[in-house]
Amino acid sequence: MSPARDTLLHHLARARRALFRRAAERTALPLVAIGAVLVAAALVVALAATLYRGHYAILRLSLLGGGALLLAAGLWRMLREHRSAEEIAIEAGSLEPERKDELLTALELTRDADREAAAGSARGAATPDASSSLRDAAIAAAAARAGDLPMERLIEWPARRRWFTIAAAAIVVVVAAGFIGGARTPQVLARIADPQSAPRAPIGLRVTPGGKEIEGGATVVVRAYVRGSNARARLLTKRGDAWVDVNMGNADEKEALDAARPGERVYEHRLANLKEDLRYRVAAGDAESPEYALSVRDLPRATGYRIRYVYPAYTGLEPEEMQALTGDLAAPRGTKARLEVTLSRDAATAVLIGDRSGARIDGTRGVRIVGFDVPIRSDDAITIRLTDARGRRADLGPFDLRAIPDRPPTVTVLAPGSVEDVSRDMTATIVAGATDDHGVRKMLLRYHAREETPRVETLHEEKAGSRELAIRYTWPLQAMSLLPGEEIAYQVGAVDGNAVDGPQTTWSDERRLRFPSATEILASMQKERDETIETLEDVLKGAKELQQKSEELARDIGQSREMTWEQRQQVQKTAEGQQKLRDMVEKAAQQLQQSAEKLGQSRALNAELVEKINELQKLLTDIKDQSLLRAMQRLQEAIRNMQPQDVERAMQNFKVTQDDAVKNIQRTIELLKQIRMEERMEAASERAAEMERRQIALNDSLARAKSAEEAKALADAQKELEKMTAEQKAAMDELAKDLKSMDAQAMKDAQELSQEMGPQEMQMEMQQAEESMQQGQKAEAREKTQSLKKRLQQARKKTDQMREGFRDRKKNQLAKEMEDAAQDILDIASIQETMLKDDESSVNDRAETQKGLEETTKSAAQRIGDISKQTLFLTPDIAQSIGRALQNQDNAVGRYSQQDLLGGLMGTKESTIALNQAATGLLKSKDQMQGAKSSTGMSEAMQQLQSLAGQQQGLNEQTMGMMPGQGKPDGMDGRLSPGDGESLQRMAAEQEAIRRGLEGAMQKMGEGGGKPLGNMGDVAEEMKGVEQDLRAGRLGEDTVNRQQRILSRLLDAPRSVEKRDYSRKRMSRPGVDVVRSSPGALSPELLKARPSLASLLAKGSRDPVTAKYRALVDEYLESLMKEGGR
Amino acid sequence: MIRPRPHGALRRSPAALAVAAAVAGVLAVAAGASGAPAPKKDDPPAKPKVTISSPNAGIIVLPPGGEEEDEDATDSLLQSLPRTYQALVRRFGTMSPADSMGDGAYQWAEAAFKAGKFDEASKAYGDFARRYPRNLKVNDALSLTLLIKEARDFEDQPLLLFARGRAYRDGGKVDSAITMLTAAAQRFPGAKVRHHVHLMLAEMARDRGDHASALRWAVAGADSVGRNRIAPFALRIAAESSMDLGEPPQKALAYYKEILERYPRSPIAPEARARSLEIRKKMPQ
Repeated sequence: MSPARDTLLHHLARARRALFRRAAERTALPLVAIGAVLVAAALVVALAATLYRGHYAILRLSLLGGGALLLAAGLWRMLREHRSAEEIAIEAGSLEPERKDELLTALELTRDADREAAAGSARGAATPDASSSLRDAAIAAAAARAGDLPMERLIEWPARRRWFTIAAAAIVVVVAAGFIGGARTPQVLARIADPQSAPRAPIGLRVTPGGKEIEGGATVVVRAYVRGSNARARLLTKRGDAWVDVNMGNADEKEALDAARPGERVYEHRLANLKEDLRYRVAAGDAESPEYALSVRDLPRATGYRIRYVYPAYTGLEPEEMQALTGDLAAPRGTKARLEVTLSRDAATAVLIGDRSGARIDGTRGVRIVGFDVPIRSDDAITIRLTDARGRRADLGPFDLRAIPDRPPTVTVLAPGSVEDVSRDMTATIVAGATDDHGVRKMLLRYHAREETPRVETLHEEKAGSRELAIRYTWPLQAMSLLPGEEIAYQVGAVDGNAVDGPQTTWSDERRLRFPSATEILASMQKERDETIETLEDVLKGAKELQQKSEELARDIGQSREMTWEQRQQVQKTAEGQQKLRDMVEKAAQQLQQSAEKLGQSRALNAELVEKINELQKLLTDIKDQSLLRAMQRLQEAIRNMQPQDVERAMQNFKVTQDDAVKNIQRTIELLKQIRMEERMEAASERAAEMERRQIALNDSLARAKSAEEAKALADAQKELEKMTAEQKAAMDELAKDLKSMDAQAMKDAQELSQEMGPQEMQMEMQQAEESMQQGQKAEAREKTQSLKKRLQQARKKTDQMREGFRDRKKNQLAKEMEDAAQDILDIASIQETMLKDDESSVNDRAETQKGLEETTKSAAQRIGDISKQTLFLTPDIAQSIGRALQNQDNAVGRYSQQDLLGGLMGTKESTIALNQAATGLLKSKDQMQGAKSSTGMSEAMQQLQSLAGQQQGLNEQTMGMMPGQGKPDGMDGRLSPGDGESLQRMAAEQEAIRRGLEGAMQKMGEGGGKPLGNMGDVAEEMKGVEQDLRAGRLGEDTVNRQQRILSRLLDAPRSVEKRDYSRKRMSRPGVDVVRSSPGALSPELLKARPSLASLLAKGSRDPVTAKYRALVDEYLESLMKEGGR
Repeated sequence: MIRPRPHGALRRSPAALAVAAAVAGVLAVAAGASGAPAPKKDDPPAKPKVTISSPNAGIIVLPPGGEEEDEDATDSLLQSLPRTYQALVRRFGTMSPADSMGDGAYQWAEAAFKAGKFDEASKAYGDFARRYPRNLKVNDALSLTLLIKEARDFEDQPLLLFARGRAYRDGGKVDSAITMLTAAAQRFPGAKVRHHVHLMLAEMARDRGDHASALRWAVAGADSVGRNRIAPFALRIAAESSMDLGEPPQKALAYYKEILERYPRSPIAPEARARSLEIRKKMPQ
């Protein structure tokens, strides 16, 4: 490298810098000038003109755009001003015009030299065409010259001054404008910088209808007239706190267009069915209208009510919701009601005001609805006060608020009746129903026997409560140890589940269960029996009359070709008369059924008698359902046919059928009379037994009487016995009278008994005993009463014997008659059998013999018919066999008469078989009748029990004798003597023996299939207690009382045993059967339009079931029970 | 009334009976076709040499005798075909299996009765009557039941004698029967079964043609003292025997009259009435 070269390049670099500086000036100065011009122009415009936001925005945009363009232009210019080394050399050389290319040449020479140097170093030799020295010299010369050149002059460019001027002028303008603008200048600058801060451009906006009061439901068209903007108008409506906008549509209605002013555009929006106040405004471009209000003129009013009741939990009722026309509330106390009122428009505030209580309940508001939570506590009147958004007030109501109190339950006892007898099995079936408006929770039984403190038992407890509850409770009464004549008072109670005011209890009226004496029961039967017999006698009379009439009618009709109207009427009347007879028979059958049930359930009557009554009832039912009905049907057929021949035939048939009915009714009457007699005997027997029991009890009380006063108090009982004795005498007299034609021996017995009971004998002795008691003469009274006891015992035995004797004699007589009848029939059959084997007799002889036998058979049949009037043991198959025999005999006679030997023989044979069968049936019936009583072993049990009662009586007397204070020597009162211990042991052993005897009898009865002695198990337990007392040497009042109870039960037991449990229909069902029923099931009418519970209760009746349906409900419950029982 | 039972039965099966009936029918037709002599009107009514009954399950009962007699009977059957045919038709036409169903049970009861086991017999008769109501022996069974019930006296001795006598009679040993029953009548004249004894003796005497004895026993049987169901039957035999003895008809008429007066309800009464009328007609006015 040569130094010249370096110097040259150094000078060229100075030239480059100068040139760059010039390029920069040439670029920047115009930029600044133009920019300043722009700014000045903008400022001037902004200051001079009224500009709005849009203008400023444009202005700013223009300035920014101009600036950007200037920068781009400047950059472009700078790039364009860039020079190469050659150009720089030329530009520098131009400073010396004569040698302007010297520097360029020098530069090129340097480059050649560089190339040569690069090549030489590569080849190692210099370029042959040029001298390097020369070149270096040239370069040096050029370098020298370059050093002399005024490079600063390169900076200058021709328009520099002009541009400076322009720029300065522009700046001056800007400054001047700014100065002139004064305070606006910064504002304008700020608006240019931020056009948003500038005001908007003014837009003309008109809105119709603006604010307005409208009717509810009106439709309003909002129109916007916009001038000065093309922007579409928007409607903003206030929804709560927010504004909701919607673009308005173009208005095309002429009216709207006509209303537009020049330059205005018209937009509109339809607000339909406005019910609420509405606030709105319209916006178009930057312009916005003021806020307008469309005010609905109407006050809020109720359009409907919805009520929801949430009932107290204890009622067990599901919440209920309903629509209502008013805001009346009615519900059980404690209910929570929710009252919702739907409104015609929104309410700003809603309050429920209790007019009486003054309570205020704020309502919850919704869209056109207000709701109130109303607790139902007491009756009130309520008003709903509403205020609309404008503060206007509207009151709804007043409405009734009805707090329905929980009424106490009602109790109905369907069975037993108010006073009823205890059934023989010592149970009572209580069928009771209870109703409560909200549900029965408990069924109670409160009872007491004698003077005991009343006890309360819960029969049934219902967890959830039931509005209607029926229970059937089989109440075991054995534990009450009732004696004949005693009674239990009881009430059935129902408890509701009122949790608001506390449970309420209702008790039924007090009812009584009597433990009747057998005499009472039997006495009550007498009247019923008489009535039944009278009814049947009427029926018999009617049936006979009808029979006669039908016969006459048949005769008349048979003679005429056509039936007259009168004849038809008569036939019709006959049919009607028959229906009446049927009704009467049915009534009698029902009477019998009732009395059989009554007797069967009571302890009084023996099973045989009940069985007889039942059989009679069946007999009557058969008469009603077969004979009479068949006769009626035939008549009715005849009436339908209306053909005289048919009617005549039907009337004849009617007569035949009626014959059967008449016979059966006659038989029933006879049997009833017989039963009546047996019942009277039974009653006499029972009365005798009761008298004996009472006398024993009286004697015992007398023995225990400690003072004369106590003895005196017993005089009334003795008087009562005397009265009974008089009654018994009257009964015996009656019996003797009626027995005169029936049984001489029984009549004689009755007369003797009557004599004994007469005023001169037993009654007189009773009077004496009574007098002694009244005078307090205990010893004398005891002596007399002991004698009376013996006499009554004898009388009882004699009465029993009379009854048994009567029954046995009757039975034997009947057995004899039945046997004779069987023998008669067998004789006839025997002769017929001989006929069958007879090969010699002619057919005519056979016919004759057969005819004779037929007559004999008819006679025998008549006798059997007579027997059947006296006993029920003759079964229908006997009559059927005899009927068959007669028919075959008749047939045989006919065949023989027609010389038909074979047919005749067949008839004879068949009749023989039928007669044999009839005889078999008769003998079987006879055996059944005779074996009816003894086969049960009842008599033996009775005798054993009577014997045990005697033993117990003796033991009781011994105990009484050993009681402290009873006949003890002086000084020993209140204490047992030394030898008494041994006696007590002996007595304990005796008591044990009695107990074992009782257990044996009980077992025997059990084996016989019967109920063991009418629940005598507790008596055996009592006996054990006495045994223990005696063995332990305890002899107190308790022991004596216990023995007395034992004796009473033993005395009563034979009656119970003899008339032991007998009822095919009754079924023991221990425990409580419960039936719940809803009121809806009570009657179809109730179901048809079942009111709401609230309205049902609001009716205010005490019983939720109206009186109209009460009977139906009771019947319904009863039927449910019956079904349950099955 | 206790009737005599057939005896000496030759038993054949029902099938054999049916075959016999069929054969009889064919023979009858053949006889008619071949012009077999029909019985003349004047001929006395021939005593049936063959009696056919149905006491034992539809068995043809022939008179007792050996095999030769059987052959004779068969011959006589052929000879008296029309009458026998009639009898066969009569019997078979009225017979049915039920008539004899339960005969075994009856025989068992009979055996007990004859053996003097009266309680057992009574029960067996009763069972038989209940179980086989269509058997024609039910009548006898029931009659014997009643007899057993009412005639238990003198430690059952009279009843036992009666039972044995009846057994002999049913077995065809009439002499033994008479001996036995006569002994009973003599040893226990007050026995309750005496009327039955008398009646049976009367019947046997009548059957033997000993009308005097028959009359005597019948009159004894018609004892009017006490309860006597046999009396009408005894009186009828008495009346018949009296007529057979050739006594004046008034006597027989008196017996019949007694039946009608004392026992108007008896099945014998109609017959007695008819016989009375016949006698009256025959009596000279």
